[in-house]
Amino acid sequence: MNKKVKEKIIKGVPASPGISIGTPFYYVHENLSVSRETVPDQDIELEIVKYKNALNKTREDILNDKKNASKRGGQEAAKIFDAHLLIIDDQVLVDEAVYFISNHNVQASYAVSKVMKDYQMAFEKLQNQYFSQRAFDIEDVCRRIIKNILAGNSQSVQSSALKGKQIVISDNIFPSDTLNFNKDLILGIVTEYGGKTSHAAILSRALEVPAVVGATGISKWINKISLMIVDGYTGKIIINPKPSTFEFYKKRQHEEKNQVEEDLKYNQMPSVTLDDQNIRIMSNIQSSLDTDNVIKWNSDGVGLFRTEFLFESSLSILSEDEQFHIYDEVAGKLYPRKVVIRLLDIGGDKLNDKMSIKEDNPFLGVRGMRLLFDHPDLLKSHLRAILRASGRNNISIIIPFIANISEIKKTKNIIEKIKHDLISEGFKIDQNIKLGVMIEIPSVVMIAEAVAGMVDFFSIGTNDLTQYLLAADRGNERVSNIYDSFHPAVIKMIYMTVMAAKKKNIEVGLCGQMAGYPIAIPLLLGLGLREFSVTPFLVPVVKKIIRRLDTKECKIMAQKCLKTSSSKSLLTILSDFFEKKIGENPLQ
Amino acid sequence: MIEEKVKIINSLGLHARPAAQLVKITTRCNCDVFISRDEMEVNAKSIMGVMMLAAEQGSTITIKCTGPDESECLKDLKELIKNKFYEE
Repeated sequence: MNKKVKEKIIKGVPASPGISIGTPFYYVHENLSVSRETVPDQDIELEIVKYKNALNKTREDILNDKKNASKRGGQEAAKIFDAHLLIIDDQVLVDEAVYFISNHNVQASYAVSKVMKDYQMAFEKLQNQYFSQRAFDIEDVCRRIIKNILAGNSQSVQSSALKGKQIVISDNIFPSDTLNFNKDLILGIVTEYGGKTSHAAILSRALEVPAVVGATGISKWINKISLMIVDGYTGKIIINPKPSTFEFYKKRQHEEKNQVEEDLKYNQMPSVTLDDQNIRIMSNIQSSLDTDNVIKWNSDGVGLFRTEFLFESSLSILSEDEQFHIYDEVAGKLYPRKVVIRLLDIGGDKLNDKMSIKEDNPFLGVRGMRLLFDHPDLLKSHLRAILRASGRNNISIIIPFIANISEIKKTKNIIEKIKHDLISEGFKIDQNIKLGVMIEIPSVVMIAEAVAGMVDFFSIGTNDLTQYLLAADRGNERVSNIYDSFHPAVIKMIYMTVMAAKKKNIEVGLCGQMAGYPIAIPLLLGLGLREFSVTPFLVPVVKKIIRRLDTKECKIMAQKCLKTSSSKSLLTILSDFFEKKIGENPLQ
Repeated sequence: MIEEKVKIINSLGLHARPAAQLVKITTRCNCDVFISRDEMEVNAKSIMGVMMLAAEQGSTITIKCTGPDESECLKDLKELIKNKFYEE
C-alpha cells in the first residue's frame, strides 16, 4: 500500500462546500454475491423462519432510520425510507423468495439476493430515468435484509469503523450507510457516482462536511493515496498533493476558519448603510435542511425557497400533505422571518425525463409556470400545500418564468379559487398572501409598470435574465464569453424593473448570483435595490460591504454605469469605486 | 378470466404512490391480477412489478383478472385509474 504516486487531480461535482484534508477511508459495501448452497429438505422450514425474522428486523431498522431522519433534519430524508418500506412490504417479492427457498432448496440469503437482483436488473434496463433509478433503492433494501440474515447466522458482518477523523470514499452512499458511521469522525465525503441531488450530497450538506460526488475514477486510486484534499467549492480532489499544493490548501482551510469566525461577528450588526438606509439580506434555500443556516448567519428571511426538491429527492412527487409539512416546518422554524416560496420551476431538462416529453429547445419551451398550467392537478396540490402553511402570515408566493400578463391573471384566478376552497374547508390561511413575479424574461421588464400594478412584489433573477436577454445558454461553455451579467443591457433591465416597482410602490429584490458578487453590491444599491437574496453563508459578506457604502454615492456611480456600452467599461467604473470605498481589490 | 385495456391519465403515470394504491386493491381481491404493457406482463399484487411497467401518462395497459371476484376487482381498478388515483 501507499506506493508513492505523484500529485493527481480528479474532477467531480461539488456537492457540499468547504475544504478538507486527510487520509482516505475506503468504505466498501459488502459483496452481495452470496454463493448458492443446498439446504436439505428438513431445514427448509428453518431457512424460511430465518428469512421472515430478517424481514421483520429490517422493517424495524428502516422505521428507526426514518424516525431519526425526521428528527435530524426534516421530511425529505425520511421520504427515502418511506419508499423502502413499500419495497419490503411487497408481498409478491416476499413470496418469490420463499418459493425459491422451498422449491430450489437454497439458503435464505441466496434467495433474497437472487430475487432482488432480478428486479434490479429489470429496473436498470428501463428507459425512463425516474423508474430506472429505483434499482438503487432495491439494492439498498436488499443489502439490509441479507445483512440481517447473516447476522442471525452469527456470521460476522464487517462493521466499518473510521480510524480517527478521515475522508470517506465510496462508490456510492446508501441511505442505510448512515448508521455505519460515527458522524463526528467524517472529514469529508467523496463518491464515484451520483449527482448534486444524490443521497450522498444531501447527507453531506446536512452534516456540513465538504463533499464531492461523481468523482469518476477515484476508486482506482484508493490504494495509492497517502493524503488527499477535497475541495467542496470546485469539485476538485487532489491525491497525494505536492508540498506547495498542500500549503496552499492548508492556508485556505485556515483562512476559511478565520473567515467563518469573523463573519459570525457580523451577525450582531445591523445591515445598514453609512447614510442609514436599511438593507434586507435574505437567503436562497432549496430544502428544509437549509433553515438552520438561515438562522446561523442571521439572515432576514428567505428570499427564494426553491421547490424543485419536490421532484428530486424522493421516490415520487410529494403529495399535498407531505409538501405542507415541509413548508410548515420552514415557515415555523423561521417565524417571524418572511419566507418567499417560488412555485416549482422545473422544465426543459428535469421533468421531461419523468414525463417523456421531448422538446427541441427546452429552455424556451414548457417550463416554470407554463409547465404547471399544463399539469393543473400538480399546480393545485402545490398551491394548496403552500397556502395551508401560510397561517402565520409569513409566507409569500413568487411565480416563475412569466412572459405576459395573462399568465399572471390566470395564476391569480387559480390562487383565489384555492383560497376560497381552503377557507370553506376550515383551514386557517393568510387571505392576503403576497404574490410576486420573477423578473427573468425580458418581455416583462418592458411592460414592468403594468405588471407591477398586478402583483405585490418583484424578484429579479439575474441568471435567467442574462441568459434570455443575451440569447446565451448559461450552461453552454462555448457561449460563456457572451453570457455576462455585467452587460450594460442587463444592468439597464434591472434599473427599469426597480423604477417601475418604485412608481407603483411595490417591493423589489434581487436573488440571482449577482447579489453574491461583492463588486456588484454598490451598483445594485445605486440602481435603487434595497433587498438581496443570497446563499446563507454569503449574508455576512454582503453585509460587510453594505455597511461601508453610502447609497447617494452609489447612485451617482450607477448613473455613470448606465451610460456605458460594454461590460468592460462598466467593470472599470465598478472596480475603481470598490477599491476607493471598500479598500480592497474586488477581483481578488 | 376477463381483461380490459385502460389508459393511464394522471400526469406522472404509475410512479410509487399510485402503484401502492393499485396494489392495495389487488392484494385485497380474491383473484389473480396481471397487468401488461407492450410485451411486459407483471403480477399486479407486487408494487415493484407494477412500477417496472414504467407506465407513463398516456400509455395503455391491459388488466387481466381471473378468479371469484374478477369483475368487481376490474371495476375498482378502472375507477382508481379514471380518478387519477385520487391524488391530483
